[in-house]
Amino acid sequence: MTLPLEGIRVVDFSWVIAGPFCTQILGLMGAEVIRVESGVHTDVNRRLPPFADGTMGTERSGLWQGLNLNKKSVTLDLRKPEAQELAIELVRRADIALENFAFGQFEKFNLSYERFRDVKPDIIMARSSGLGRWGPYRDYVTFGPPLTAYTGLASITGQAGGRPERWVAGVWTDHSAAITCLFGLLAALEHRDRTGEGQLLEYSMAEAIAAQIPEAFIEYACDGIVPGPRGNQDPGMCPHGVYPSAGDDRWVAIAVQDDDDWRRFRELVPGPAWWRDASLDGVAGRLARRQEIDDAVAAWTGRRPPAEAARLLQEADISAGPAALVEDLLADPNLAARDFYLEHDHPEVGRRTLAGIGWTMPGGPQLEVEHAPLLGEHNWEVLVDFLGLPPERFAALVDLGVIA
Amino acid sequence: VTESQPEPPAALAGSIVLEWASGRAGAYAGRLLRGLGAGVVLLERDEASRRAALHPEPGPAGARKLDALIQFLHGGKKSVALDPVAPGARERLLHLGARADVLLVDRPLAELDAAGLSPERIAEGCPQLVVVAVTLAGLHPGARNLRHADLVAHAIGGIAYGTPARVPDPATYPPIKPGGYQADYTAGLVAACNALLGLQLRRRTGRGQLFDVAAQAIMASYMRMDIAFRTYNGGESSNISSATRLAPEGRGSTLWGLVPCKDGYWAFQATEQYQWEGLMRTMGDPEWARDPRFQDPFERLARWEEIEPHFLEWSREHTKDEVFHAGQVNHVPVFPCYTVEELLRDPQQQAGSFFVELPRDGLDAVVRVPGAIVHFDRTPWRFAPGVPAAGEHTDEVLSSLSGGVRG
Repeated sequence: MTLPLEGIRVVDFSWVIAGPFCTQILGLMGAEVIRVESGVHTDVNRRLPPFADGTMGTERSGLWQGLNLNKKSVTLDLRKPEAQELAIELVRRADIALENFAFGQFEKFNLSYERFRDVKPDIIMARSSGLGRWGPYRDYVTFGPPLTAYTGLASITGQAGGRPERWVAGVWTDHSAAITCLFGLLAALEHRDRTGEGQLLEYSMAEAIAAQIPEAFIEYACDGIVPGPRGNQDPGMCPHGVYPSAGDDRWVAIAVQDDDDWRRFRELVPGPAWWRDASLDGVAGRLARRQEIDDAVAAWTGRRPPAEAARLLQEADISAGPAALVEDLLADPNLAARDFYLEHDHPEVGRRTLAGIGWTMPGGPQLEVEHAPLLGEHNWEVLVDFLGLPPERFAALVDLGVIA
Repeated sequence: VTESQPEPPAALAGSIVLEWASGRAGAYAGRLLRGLGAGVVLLERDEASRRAALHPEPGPAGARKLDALIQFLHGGKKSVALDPVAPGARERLLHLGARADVLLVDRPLAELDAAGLSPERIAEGCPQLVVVAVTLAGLHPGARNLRHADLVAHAIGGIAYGTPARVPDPATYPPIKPGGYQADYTAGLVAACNALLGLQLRRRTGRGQLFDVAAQAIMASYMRMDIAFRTYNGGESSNISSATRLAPEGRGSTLWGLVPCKDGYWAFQATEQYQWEGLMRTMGDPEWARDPRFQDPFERLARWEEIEPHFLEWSREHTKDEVFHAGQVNHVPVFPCYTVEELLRDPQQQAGSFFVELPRDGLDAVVRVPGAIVHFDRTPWRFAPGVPAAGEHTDEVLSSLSGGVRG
């Protein structure tokens, strides 16, 4: 069946996580993605763990492979003019190009949106930055995890009243930036399909993160108080938390979202004598006694495994679920039921399981998975078969280190 | 924009998006598509249900913040009255669906199933429509009726357990969600992407498509590195720092952290050797850094407990902004830990156009909120002001969409 982006060709100059995750999604959605890599200074993620079976190697990183399914790999040393010309020839035949180098680096390769547009007037190009491509800090270097600190997200993440949390799981900034880039590319593609017009789009990782904490800015403006960490507490819901369960460091999340939820909750979960006080019928009354309520909830959850507590609450139509460890995710029946996990047969590391994406298309096309490419695996296919580079010229460029 | 400079076109001008939402995810997706120029129509029961869906803080202060949040989420949309259990609701929805391009729905499925208005039934009844359904864990039978909540999505998607690193006492330090409503907003962003993917697919096939967006799966998709630690090396879950919730040391390769300083905290990451060397230059090339045991990245990581006191000693003499700029001069990804107040005052943000001011309509404070998440050079994303009253555009929309079925 037809995939949403069949017929779209992407030239991917990005690296690390945000760009590659975005282009992996484009590939899974049917686009042909040509990843331009450096064989000299390889993507840092090819050099980062986890390595298959604990053995280091360029073709063994699960981190890299989990971000680069459904792509072709071409190795060009973009510092060399001949490589730059080959990159231009790829873009001439593409719909989308993207890069996420440090500010100014792409121009040092004599590559730019303007140059791409000259050869492909309707090209869509995405460029990312850490803090934005304008302003005094536009050339500041960035990695995703510490950027959560700059954006304000770390300042509101942590136990209630405690210090900011040093880590938001899931390499949060990079993945959020990837989906933000995806949104921009798809919008630009829609515009191009309607008008024939390409365009340049830019996004910053900092803005991608700050965009998703509007309540914090509103709270600051309306209350005049700078918000800090509040753990799992919610200003409009109670009980609302992650509670201890039976087992070693096991926890269950519970969100009683309104007064109807509370009425069902207190029928299910036995509490102290004041549990049925009319003063608790409204959320304001419950918030006033939050700590006492949380203690009573914890006494109940602490006597049963998280899955059991969650099941009982779900049966009462209350939102609840275990705080999943990675091994729980791998065994999760709901993720399995939607074929969340992707498997690829890799020439060097064999069949491996990787995380998928957040949506399915019921009754529609299914994802087809191609293994993450070996470094330069598609040099011949892309440069000779597709671009038409004469074989002898290909060999010469390999010797010159242009294709490397 | 002046009269001589017509406004650039909007990417989704002329597209109709129906937003049948009960939470932030659907509302945020609608906001993103509205900013691209789509006509977004809220399908809602009444004003009270709109406000209750966002679970506001009780009291007058909560009401003021809710007004602002509604402006943020619903500015520029239209509103049509629709009560799913009222007579004629099904016919009205299918009538609208046959004429619209996209339906965003994140309502509890039990309610929709009972009314014969499940996403599957709507997709079947409106074959040209792109239907994007957002749930906690999916549309399949085992998950279908699980009630969604932002907190629970973080929990069952692995984010909550993975977030606190090096916790001081696991027995009293629960897993936590990131601040705000990250799962909801992320699901909204993904739903907006799915709407656009659906339009691409429709262009290729001539048919609409149902998209099943699960907040749990989105969160789990962000955990791909942790998952790969299991499937590639059989190890326990970890992150790039190796600093898991329970164990301060492990198999990571990247030194990073959040370091207390004179006026707060600063954050850094030193993945590459040159970044570590830059960090040491920032710290004045200290003697301890020349210790042979600290020259290899994996060794440094294993010996972080020895290194950290040196960081703390140096850091308490410096402010976060001093470290920020000095580190960046040395090409190290170093950032101050800002509050939202500090971020709004930051010169980089002052120089940009990311934050926009909400209209003062009914608000007693100047409220600056995030604006465009992507900057397009031809079709700019625009924040649209003006919140509709619930049902305000019922007659207008129904009559304007009665002209014919989209096909």
